Amino acid sequence: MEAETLEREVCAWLEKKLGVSGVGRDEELVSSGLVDSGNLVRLATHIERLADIEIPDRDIDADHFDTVAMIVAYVQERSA
Amino acid sequence: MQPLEARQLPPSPVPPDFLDACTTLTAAIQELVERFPDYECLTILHRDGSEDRTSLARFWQRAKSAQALLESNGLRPGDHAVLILPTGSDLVASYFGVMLAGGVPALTAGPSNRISDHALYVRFLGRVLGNAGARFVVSEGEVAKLLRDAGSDALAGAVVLTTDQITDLPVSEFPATFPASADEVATIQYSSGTTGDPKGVMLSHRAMLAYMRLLRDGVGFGPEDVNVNWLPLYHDMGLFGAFLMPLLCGFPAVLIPTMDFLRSPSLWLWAIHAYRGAAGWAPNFAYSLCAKRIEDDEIEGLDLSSWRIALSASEPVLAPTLEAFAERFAPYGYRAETMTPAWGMAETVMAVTAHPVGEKPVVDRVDRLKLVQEEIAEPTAGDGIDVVAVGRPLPGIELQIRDPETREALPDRHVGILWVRATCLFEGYKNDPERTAEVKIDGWFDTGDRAYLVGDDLYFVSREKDLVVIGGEKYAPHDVEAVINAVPGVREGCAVAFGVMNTDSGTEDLGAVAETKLEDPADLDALRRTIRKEVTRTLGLGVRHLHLVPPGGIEKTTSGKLARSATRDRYPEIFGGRDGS
Repeated sequence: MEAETLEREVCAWLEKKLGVSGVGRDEELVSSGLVDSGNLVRLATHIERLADIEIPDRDIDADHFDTVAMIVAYVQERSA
Repeated sequence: MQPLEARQLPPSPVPPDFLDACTTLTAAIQELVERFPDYECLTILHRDGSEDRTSLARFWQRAKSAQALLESNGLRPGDHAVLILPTGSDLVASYFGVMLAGGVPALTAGPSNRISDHALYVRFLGRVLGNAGARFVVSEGEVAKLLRDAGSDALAGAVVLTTDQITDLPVSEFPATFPASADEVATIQYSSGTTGDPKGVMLSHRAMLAYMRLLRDGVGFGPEDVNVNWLPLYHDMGLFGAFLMPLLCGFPAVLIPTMDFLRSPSLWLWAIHAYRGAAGWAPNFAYSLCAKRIEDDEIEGLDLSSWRIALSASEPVLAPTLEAFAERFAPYGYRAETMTPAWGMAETVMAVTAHPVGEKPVVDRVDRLKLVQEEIAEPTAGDGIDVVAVGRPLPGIELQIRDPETREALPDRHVGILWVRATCLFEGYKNDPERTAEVKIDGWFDTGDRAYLVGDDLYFVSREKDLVVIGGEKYAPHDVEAVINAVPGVREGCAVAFGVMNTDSGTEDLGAVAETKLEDPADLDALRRTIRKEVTRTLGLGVRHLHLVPPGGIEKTTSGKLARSATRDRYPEIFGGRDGS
């Protein structure tokens, strides 16, 4: 999946599900409290479907998913 | 989430009054196994739709094998073992395995997926193990590896055993069951989340069995009621509501691993549909989540008409959540009177009040100013605060609202501290007689919660003890404040943290105010980021509302609690009103 498409999709999800718009690539999602643990899990599940990859439970944390840029990097690594 | 097709659970052969003559959990389970070995008492449902079913005989074999493993490693009667396992048959087997050996099982959570610094989790767990005087930890997979790598010293000397060490024994090699007595401690609950001082709530066999009887009769569960739940078993609602009560009363039960529910909330609803579920339990946030975050196309064809009892407890029950849930799922056969608000704490085993089943929840609209300033809940027809009735006392439970200072009982509609008297009260806090003596007085338990009564109906107002409850998990504000205070740029000792109700998510967000001498906007921005990063790294929480103020911006009082609420009230434009408005 293209990085740009993924980025767009993630931002669209954040806007649709959490009502947060204009999130920057490097803006913290989890550590800012914008995305709580439950929403983080659902975001990861959404990304699984979008990118057709499997994300193990243990990876769903702020180390891998704190910014849109980190999410894109994670997905690219898993799809490679 | 794909729709789940209809499934059949085996009907329960257990007589409805089975529990009545039981004196200990171990004797109860042993008798169940002897009388109904083939009964598949437990079904675990996974996100991919697959299920594991365990018969009582198979469950017994795993529990006996776990007992043998623990005994061969030196567990003796009275020893404590802490279990850190995901929902599944190994957790269930290990829980009883410890008890069958005469030991005391304690359940606690694994490291949160939000905490990147696992050393802090190990430190927290070390405190729990130290408090329990636990000799063993039973775990598996990465958590077990993390704990083994940390070494025995970090775990207060406890030995880590893993579920893959449990080797199935033939019946002829089953070790003998330790004959427990009713007054012995059967379980310890470490329920105050992963922060704060560990508080081990000790529950006796007698209290647990008494509780399950009063829950069964008071709420009115029957043998045909299929229970469908996803709560973790280290949570009291999970352990008793989802697991022990159905098991020991012989009610068919389906358990969904918590992570599978969080990943696909509609799984819970589909499971209720597929198994014709009658009872499910959850904190308020989960109902809000289902109402707001499940798409129409995920639930096409869903039928919730079998759902009779949806207990809501463990965090404030919000009127907008009840409405949103009822409205969202009415087209799918859900009835508003299914929702059963309830109130309880680990110290009372679990919920000891419940709204009458089959009656719509009751909302009391009261005057905001009177409530806040005079502590009187005066009904109003105009603008006010909506307080949901969290039920009436179950049989044998007595409630009193008392003045916080004089401890005199207060009349109806006066807000005070809720005290509870019950046959199912906890024995005390493990290794903490002082804390126990502070709250257990003359057979009564001082819950610390602020509430009022109208007739038999209990209305919860707020927690005296200042805990932040996010998604049913409890956090101590002091821990958040300690982390913020350690960030360079924050004035030492000048940070307060508290919960801010978010009516949209149906649970609290974390709010904090910290003083700093920094003035440059770029510096303030950097400080904000550092604080948030640190709180997440150490506690796994995001600070949703963070307000930096110049020196003097925080109310100073001798009580942390007053400082928190007074500071919070100073910035209503940021933190809103008390009820999240």
